[in-house]
Amino acid sequence: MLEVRDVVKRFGGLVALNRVSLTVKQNELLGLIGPNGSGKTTLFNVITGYYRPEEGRVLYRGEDITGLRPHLIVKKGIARTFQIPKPFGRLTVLENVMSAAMYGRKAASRSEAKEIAMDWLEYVRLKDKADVEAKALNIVERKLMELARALSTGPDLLLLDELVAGLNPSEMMEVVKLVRKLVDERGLTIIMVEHVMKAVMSISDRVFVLHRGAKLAEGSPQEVSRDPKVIEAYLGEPIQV
Amino acid sequence: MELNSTWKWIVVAILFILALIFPLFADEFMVSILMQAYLWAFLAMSWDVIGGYGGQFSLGHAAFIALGAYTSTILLESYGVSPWIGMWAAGLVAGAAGALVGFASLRLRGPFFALGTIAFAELVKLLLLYFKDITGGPLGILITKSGPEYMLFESQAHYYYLMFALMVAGVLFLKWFEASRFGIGLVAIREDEEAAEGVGINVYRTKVIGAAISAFLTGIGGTIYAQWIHFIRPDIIVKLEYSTQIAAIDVVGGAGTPYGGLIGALILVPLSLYLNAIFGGMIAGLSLILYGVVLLVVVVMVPGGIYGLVRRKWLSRKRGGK
Repeated sequence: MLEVRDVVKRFGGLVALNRVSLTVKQNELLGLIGPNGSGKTTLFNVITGYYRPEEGRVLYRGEDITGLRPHLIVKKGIARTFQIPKPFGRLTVLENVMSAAMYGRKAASRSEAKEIAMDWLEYVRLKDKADVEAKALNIVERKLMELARALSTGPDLLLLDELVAGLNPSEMMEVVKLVRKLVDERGLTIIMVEHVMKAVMSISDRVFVLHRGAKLAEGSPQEVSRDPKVIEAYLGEPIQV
Repeated sequence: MELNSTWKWIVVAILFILALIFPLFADEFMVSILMQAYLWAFLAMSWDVIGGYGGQFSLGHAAFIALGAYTSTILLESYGVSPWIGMWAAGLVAGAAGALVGFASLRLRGPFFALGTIAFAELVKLLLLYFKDITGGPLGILITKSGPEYMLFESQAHYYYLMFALMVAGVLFLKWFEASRFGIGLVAIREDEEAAEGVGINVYRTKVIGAAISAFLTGIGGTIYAQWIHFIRPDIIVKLEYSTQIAAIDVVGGAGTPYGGLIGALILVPLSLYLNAIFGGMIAGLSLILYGVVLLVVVVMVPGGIYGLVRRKWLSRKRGGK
């Protein structure tokens, strides 16, 4: 479904991504992990058009989307959340999510957009906050609103950047379940950047490990968590899956 | 809630009727002041599209007044085209210039955009002075025609109603605009540009069109201004003072709201007219100082302007009453 081919992204002398290749299959949940600064968010920014890579291609359903502007990538069916939530502070939660439905993949009318937005707000259990200004939300609610907003654009491929970071364990498990359900019940394909190993390992179909801008390992959660290279570079010790 | 909204409509209806019969009992001076407040309210609401909803702080909107005023006046005096038609051409000319300013906003952020728009207004003034065969240069253009078919009236009361209609149209437009798809897109960009792109909003296009709409409306306001004052000259319209006044009115009243322009104009326009009448020639640039101080106080002390303040108080009282 998505194929990243030999992508290189530099910032001045720093090579943030060094010939990274990655493929995601339809209806798969791919966990993307790696130490801080390993290039995870940069890779997201390349896929979603915020950065143009110096080398390499991004193919989506066989179509070259490299360097396409972000709003056009949304129209192709790829949506994302941001590591630090970016609410439209002085719009209401409903308007935030509606904007995504109105401008997303299919330009929904106002009333359609409202329906779509309310459905997704209910899905993330934020419906009772619909009329609150987004800046009044706490961090957990902001993350959930970002998720609802990304979903309202009508994506087939969803990129989640540290969605559960900062959540307490019970909130985390709730959100993780929601994410898994998007794949199992709604047919979405998801790439999930996460630092919380328990979260990634428990729901990913496959895990991809980035280290210093390059692929370190790739495989099932079990394989990756036993991989000596991964343990040395990132995990520190083997973890139980 | 039902009762509240009924009361709201009753109050609005009473104010509306009072405004309509105002010229019947008030003297000409008072009518003239309120009339000018309506005109400036409309100009501030036009500014609001890009300045308030779009968050792009323009200090060059006097240029759009001038482009509108010159377009319809040249059409009127040289070609006999009625300003009832000419005002739409005025809007289009100003709107095209607004699109250029919109392009500038893609590159220039915050204070740099504001400075850029000041420079833009100066450029417009120079061009109006330079092409004197068309614009009359520094001598300007005097409107010599007369009659309502040319949007020219005998009494101030007629202008009062003209500007009242303009102001009401402005409020209704903003009410519609802020709930529209485009309006929400523009506010989303103001709040977070990256996130706006991330939900599929074309940031470049939206900013450019937003600036063009703002300038279009300001250009129409320029036509009305010229029709009222009967005489246009580059240096009496393209003034930093006017650009600042437009922005100050909107920010004081409440930027990014349909009523901010009206509230701000009802307070600031009489104030500046009185101050100018009292101190007139004595202190040059007095109104600029006034706007500067008022802007500073409002931005620091009451973000959201007067409308925002009243709305917050009202909401918190409603919550407290439960």
